[in-house]
Parts: sequence; structure tokens; C-alpha cells
Amino acid sequence: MVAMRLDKHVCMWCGACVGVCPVNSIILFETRIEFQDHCTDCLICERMCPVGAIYHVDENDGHIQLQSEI
Amino acid sequence: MLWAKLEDEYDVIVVGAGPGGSWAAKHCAEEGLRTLMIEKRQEIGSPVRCGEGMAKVWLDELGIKPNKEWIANEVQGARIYSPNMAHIEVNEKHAGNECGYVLHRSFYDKAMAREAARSGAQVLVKCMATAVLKEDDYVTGLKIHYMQQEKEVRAKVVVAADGFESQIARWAKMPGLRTNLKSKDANACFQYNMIGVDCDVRYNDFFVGSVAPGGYVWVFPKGEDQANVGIGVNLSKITGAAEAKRYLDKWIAKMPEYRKGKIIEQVCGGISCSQPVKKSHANGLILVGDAARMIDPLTGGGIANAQMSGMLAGPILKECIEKGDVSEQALKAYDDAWRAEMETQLLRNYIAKEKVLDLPDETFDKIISALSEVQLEKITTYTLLKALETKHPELVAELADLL
Ligand SMILES: Cc1cc2nc3c(=O)[nH]c(=O)nc-3n(C[C@H](O)[C@H](O)[C@H](O)COP(=O)(O)OP(=O)(O)OC[C@H]3O[C@@H](n4cnc5c(N)ncnc54)[C@H](O)[C@@H]3O)c2cc1C
Ligand code: SF4
Ligand code: SF4
Repeated sequence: MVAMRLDKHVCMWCGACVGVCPVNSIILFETRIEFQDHCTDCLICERMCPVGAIYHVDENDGHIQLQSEI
Repeated sequence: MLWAKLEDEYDVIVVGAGPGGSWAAKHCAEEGLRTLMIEKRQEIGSPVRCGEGMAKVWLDELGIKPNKEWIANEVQGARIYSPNMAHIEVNEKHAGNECGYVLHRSFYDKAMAREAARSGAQVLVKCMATAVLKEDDYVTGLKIHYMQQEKEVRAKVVVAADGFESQIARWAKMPGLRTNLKSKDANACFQYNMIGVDCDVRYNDFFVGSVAPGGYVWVFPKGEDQANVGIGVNLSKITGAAEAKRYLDKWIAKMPEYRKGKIIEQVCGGISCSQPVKKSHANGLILVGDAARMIDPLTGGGIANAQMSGMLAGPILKECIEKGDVSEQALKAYDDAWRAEMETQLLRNYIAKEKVLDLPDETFDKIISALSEVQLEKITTYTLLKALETKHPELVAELADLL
């Protein structure tokens, strides 16, 4: 089990993550992203975010972000 | 408009004041429909989520007079660069729906909203729709939030013009309405507005291949030394965090013309490169623009299609509401109308996008080099295949199903 997290200092409130979430579990309140409970931990939003504002935490609360080769 | 003046019921509520929403609101209001347009942002048009390229021909069709207020630059064509930097030039008329003007979207969107307001539509900013109201299988209105207040407002028809997020359609959970995207049908985009770059104000430039997997890098000049330098990368090609930005930064670092630029704005966003939705209407609800996945899947242009769909909605909603029939069957007229206008092009460009998604750099090099040697009056599938035939017959077979 992981949980999605947002780095609000990085987020540009663009809604790209919202549009690709397969279960419509993210809401953008103008400038504030909220993950809802029915998230399935698919990490699609984390890959989609153009600036890397989304990361996740594992059961030990460790911060994890998908690494990039670019 | 002030919240206190908000009525309990409207003929039409439009969600989202992008170009699609404003054009829908304007044309509904012009038909005499009591129209409310709500926008969750505090300022319409800002922050910008766009490369700002727009074809001239479209303005005419949309009934919009070009205005210096929102036109930054006028280009004569597009140049498409292969990975080995061979290029072809396409005249503005044939360059698809992103070439002609480079806009100031923050002014453009406000100008469109102004027209909606002047036509009689009510407009409320910093007002977000948070839930869709339904009764007897009909969408009947929205729950909306403004500052600290909340209200349920009824509408005979809700127009979802809520852009890439397209949540109204998904919250409504109406039969057959699907706006979810597959990974290969979405692009992550990032852009800088840069000052002090060496751009050519006459052209919108596109750079294809592995510099931007499944998408492209664009340079749309807004002035002599100022340009939007941006990128779209296909989500199916992204494995790590922040890759759209990483690819763009990597590309800029290699380009002396651009790496000396100073950044005065950062833009971020998502676009669909899918087929349009299978169904854009349900009892009491229609989808307009990006919300209906109307962005051209090959070029990424979506302003014009959003406005076209909004404009077509006006008279159709008027007729349905007047007759007292806003059922799915009645609103199908809207679905038919926008498909007649743009579906062929969208489906053709979807096939083309599927083709180029996995094209290796060498193939881009071959195609663009072969094309650069012939004078192309107009790039069509036919002229493209014809030009390739002599040099790379093997590619013709591979691309033939594009026809
Ligand atoms: C980086 C980038 C570059 C692009 N470049 C180009 C280009 O060069 N040329 C081109 O033609 N197109 C381009 N596009 C696409 C173009 O921006 C869109 O197609 C166009 O904005 C679509 O208009 P729209 O009205 O459908 O949606 P939008 O302009 O996205 O408007 C939707 C509005 O709805 C609001 N909203 C959403 N949910 C709610 C809610 N629940 N309540 C209230 N309001 C809500 C949003 O805040 C937003 O203002 C680009 C897109 C991106 C991301
Ligand atoms: S991890 Fe998947 S399900 Fe969860 S919010 Fe992100 S995209 Fe949605
Ligand atoms: S995609 Fe990234 S930048 Fe855009 S709203 Fe989501 S978290 Fe923020």
C-alpha cells in the first residue's frame, strides 16, 4: 500500500494529473490538489505530472518518487 | 455578477470559461437562453495553459475579428525539423489548426468571456462546480461553491466545458459517457516563455523524434526575441517524474539560440491525443471542447474546436429547451453537428498520431529529408507518399494504411 502526496511548492495547478486519473480520484480546487480515498495507487498521475509535483509514501512513510533516466 | 443575484434556475449553466465555455455561453445567450457561466479560477485566462498557436481561417469561421489586443504575432507558416535537423516548410494555410497567429491567451480568453457577458450571459469567477445534480436519469443542475458559500443551482442543460480535467462528465455517471484516457492518448506538456532568444518571427517551428517521445518540441515566436518554447511528451513514453520538463530542459541546453533565453513564464498542462468521445451528450448534459476530447491528436491544437463546438451548441440547445425536450435523443443533434464539422479530420489525425508514436528517429529523418527535397504545395497524405516513393519505397508500404 502506498499513498499519493503532493509537493505544493512544485505544483502548477494545471490539472494534468486530474485528467488522466483512471478512477477520477483527484480534484483541483483552483490551486490546491486533493487526492481522494478511492485512489488505486496506479501512479499514472505521478508519471503524468509535467513538473514532478506528485510523489508517494510507502507504509513506513518513506518518500518515493519514480526515478527518471532523462 | 454578484453571488447574491444568483438565481435558483437557469436554462443553461456552462462549467468553465475557457474558449469553449465562453463561446457556448455567448451563443446560448444570443439565442435568448438564460445562461450562467461559472469558472473556478479567480481570473479567466490565467494561468495560461497553451502554446498559443491558432489558425487564421478558424477565426473567420468562428465569427471572431482579429484584434491586436490578443494577437502577439502573425506567422506565414510552419517548419518541421527531423532529429537530424533537416526541415520542411509548410505554408500557413496547410499547416493545420495551430498556425497563423500566436495569441496572448490570457487576453484572448478574457476577450471571449467578455463577449459572452455582453451577449447577456451571467458570469461568476472563483466559482467551482463540485457535484452534478441528477433526478430521474436527468442531469438537472450543479452544486457550486463560491468563496465560503455553497448552493444548488438547476439548469435545463448543463454544458460541461471544463477542459482537460473533464470531471463533470465523469461525476455525472451517465450511460455511455466516457472521458477517461488511455496512457497513449495523453500528452504531458511544459513550456517556457523566453526573452532574448533567436527565433524567426515568420515561422512556428516543430521538432519531432526522440527529443520529445510521442510528441514534439515547439517554438512559437511571440515577438522578435520572444517565444513560447514548449514540449509535449506522450504519457505512454514517460517512466519517471517530471519528464516533460526534463526533456525540454535537455533540448534547450543543446540549442544555442534558446539556451541564452530568460524565462518570464512557466506553463504546464495536459492534452489529449485521443479520438473524440464516443458520445458527448446525455439527458440534460452536453460536453464541449477539451472535455469532449476534441483536441487534434496530431497537432495538439484545441482552441478552435472547443469554440466551434460551443458555437454549434447555442441554436441546438435553444431548440431543445424551447420544445421542452432535453433528452439524450434530442441533444444528439449537438453530437451530430460537431462531428459533421470536425470528426473526419480528428479521426484521420488520430491514425497519423498512432503511426508516428513509435516512429524511430531514422524514419523521421528519411521522411523529412525526402520531403525537403521536393517543393510541396500542400502536404497531403498523397503528396507525402508520392514524394517518398522514389527515395524510400519501403516506407510507403509502412505508411500506406494512413490513406
Ligand atoms: C501546454 C499546452 C499547449 C497547448 N497549445 C495549443 C496551441 O498552440 N494551439 C491550440 O489550439 N491549442 C493548444 N492547446 C490546447 C488548448 O489550450 C485547449 O484545447 C483549449 O484551451 C480548450 O478550451 P476549453 O474551453 O475546452 O478548455 P479550457 O481552456 O481548459 O477551459 C476549461 C476551464 O474550465 C475550468 N473548470 C474546470 N473544472 C471546473 C469546475 N469544476 N468548476 C468550474 N470551472 C471549472 C478551468 O479552470 C478552465 O478555465 C494546448 C494545451 C496545453 C496544455
Ligand atoms: S495513483 Fe492512480 S488512482 Fe491514485 S490518484 Fe494517481 S492516477 Fe488516480
Ligand atoms: S499535474 Fe502536477 S503540476 Fe499539474 S496540477 Fe497535477 S500535481 Fe500539480
